[in-house]
Amino acid sequence: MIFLYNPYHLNKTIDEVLKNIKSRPSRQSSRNTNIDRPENILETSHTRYSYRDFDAAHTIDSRFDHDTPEGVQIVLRPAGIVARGTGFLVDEIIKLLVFFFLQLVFQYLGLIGLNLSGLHLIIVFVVLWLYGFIFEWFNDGMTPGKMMVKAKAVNLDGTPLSLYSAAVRNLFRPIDSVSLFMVGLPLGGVGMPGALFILFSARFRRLGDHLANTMVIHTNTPEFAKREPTATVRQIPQPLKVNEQLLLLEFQDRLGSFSEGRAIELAEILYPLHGLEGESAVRACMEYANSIRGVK
Amino acid sequence: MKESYFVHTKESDWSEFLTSLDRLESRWNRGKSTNADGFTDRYRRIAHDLTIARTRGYSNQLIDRLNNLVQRGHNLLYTKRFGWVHGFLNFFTYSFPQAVRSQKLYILLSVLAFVGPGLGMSYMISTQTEFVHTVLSDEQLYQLQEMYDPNSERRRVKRTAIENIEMFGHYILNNTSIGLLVFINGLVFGIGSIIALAFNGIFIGSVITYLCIAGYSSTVLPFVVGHGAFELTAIVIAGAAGLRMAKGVFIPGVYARKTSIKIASKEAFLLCGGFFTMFILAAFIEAFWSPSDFLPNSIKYSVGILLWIAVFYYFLFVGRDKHSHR
Repeated sequence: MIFLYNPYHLNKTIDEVLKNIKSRPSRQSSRNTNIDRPENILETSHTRYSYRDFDAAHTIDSRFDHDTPEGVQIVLRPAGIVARGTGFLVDEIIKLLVFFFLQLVFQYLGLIGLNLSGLHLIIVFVVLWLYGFIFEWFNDGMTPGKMMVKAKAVNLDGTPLSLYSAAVRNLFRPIDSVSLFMVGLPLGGVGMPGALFILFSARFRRLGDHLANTMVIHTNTPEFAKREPTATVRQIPQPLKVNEQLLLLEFQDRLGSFSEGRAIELAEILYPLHGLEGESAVRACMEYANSIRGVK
Repeated sequence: MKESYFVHTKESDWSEFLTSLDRLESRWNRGKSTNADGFTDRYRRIAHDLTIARTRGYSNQLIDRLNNLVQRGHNLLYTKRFGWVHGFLNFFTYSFPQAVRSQKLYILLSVLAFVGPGLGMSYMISTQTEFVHTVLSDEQLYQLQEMYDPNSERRRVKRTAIENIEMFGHYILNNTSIGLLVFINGLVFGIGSIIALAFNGIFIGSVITYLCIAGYSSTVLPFVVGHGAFELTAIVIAGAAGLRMAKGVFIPGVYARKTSIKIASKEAFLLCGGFFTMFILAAFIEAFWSPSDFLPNSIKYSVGILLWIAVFYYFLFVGRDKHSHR
């Protein structure tokens, strides 16, 4: 089931929406009417249709496709405000703890007669200003906070940060989190520009990201517990669509993460197909999946 | 072709690709040629496998796995490996001075906001010394006198190297935070930057004027002239960056506000990188050169004036004849 961005289209499938778009004259196409409309919209570039049409046909999704020069799409998953905010807070707390610790250490050194407060101030400067930059440049785009929420900063095409982009996005961090530095500013209507930018941009990018052409993506891939594989195959009584086949494969892959009851409940949805109940229904679904996968 | 057969035929290729990925991604091999042992050919084959798996409707787990392989290979092949030295040089010999020149209007406003009140206060104090009490408290005045009195107890004791480093740390934190404050204050309708600039101008103007009237000019001016070349210009540039941001946020003109903010911050960023470096330079000079008492004042004056000329030359002429490399 595909939910669409525009509430008007909520009950339609994507095919209906696309059909709708094809029948509607668009802003762009009025200029080049002599060009034939191709039959399949999905195989054409989007530019022939107006921005609004394109927007309406798009689903809400946390995935972002990057087209590589090989003509393949890599799926990147931008991290949203919750993950990024958590990482940010963790980083700030770590910085505070480091400052506290430094204070203790250098105070102690001062007591035993070693006055190194210059070194202290220089370290404070480095931590205050270069924390994000050093971690992101040497640790593949990951500060400790980002490591905790399993995210990393990358260029828009998914490649590791360059020196320039790491510097830019970290120099602009104070601007993105102004209200942490100046408490009065939220009254001026500016607050935390970074958070606003993350909320209202397509790939959850703050101002520094926009400048440096970077974004923050999730690095974790969903892993499901495996279950003892069934080796037997069962013939599916009627041909299934690709989506339905995929559902069966997904069911097989994720079986380890379902509870016993939930697995049976899901498998019994296909009662019209296999006519079984309980544990045997689950086995039947597994065998269907095996036959789709081609296990011998 | 069924999925399991597909996996069966390709499995060895994928696992070999995975081992070469692990090897090439390690820190020591970074930057070495990726063309060894047919990496690129295998990468293309696996990218092809990924599209096949997608169009044939193979399981999501397989697609995720292939996507992961292709992504890592793509990152190895297409990472930009610019020489960062070149980037730095380009910034300081071209981008930064050009950015300062292209933001003439904001620099001018900033200079006015900084120098105007400073000179005004300085004039008022020179006519009537009591005006200094509107800016500085008695305690501050006492401290200043003690610091710059050529005959005071404190000046006879030479500064040690450790103290110099301590002052360096102090100046570096202090200066950058002042610069940042001047810049960020621009987001309060631009007035914030102007107020911060004016405040700094008044403070610096009144301190120097007061000490000169008190007869300490032989210690104050040689101290100030060297690092002032960097510090004062950097404050002005920070103010200009703040004003440019304010213009982008509050007066978007023909742009949508979001676009306007993006453009403004792109331009302000160049100024930011510049003033940040200049503050660090200023702190360095202020900590290690300016307080050196053993040098005669004539040398410190001439070096200071040379630094001022260098700074002005830099902003007026450097980077004009070169075209951007970016």
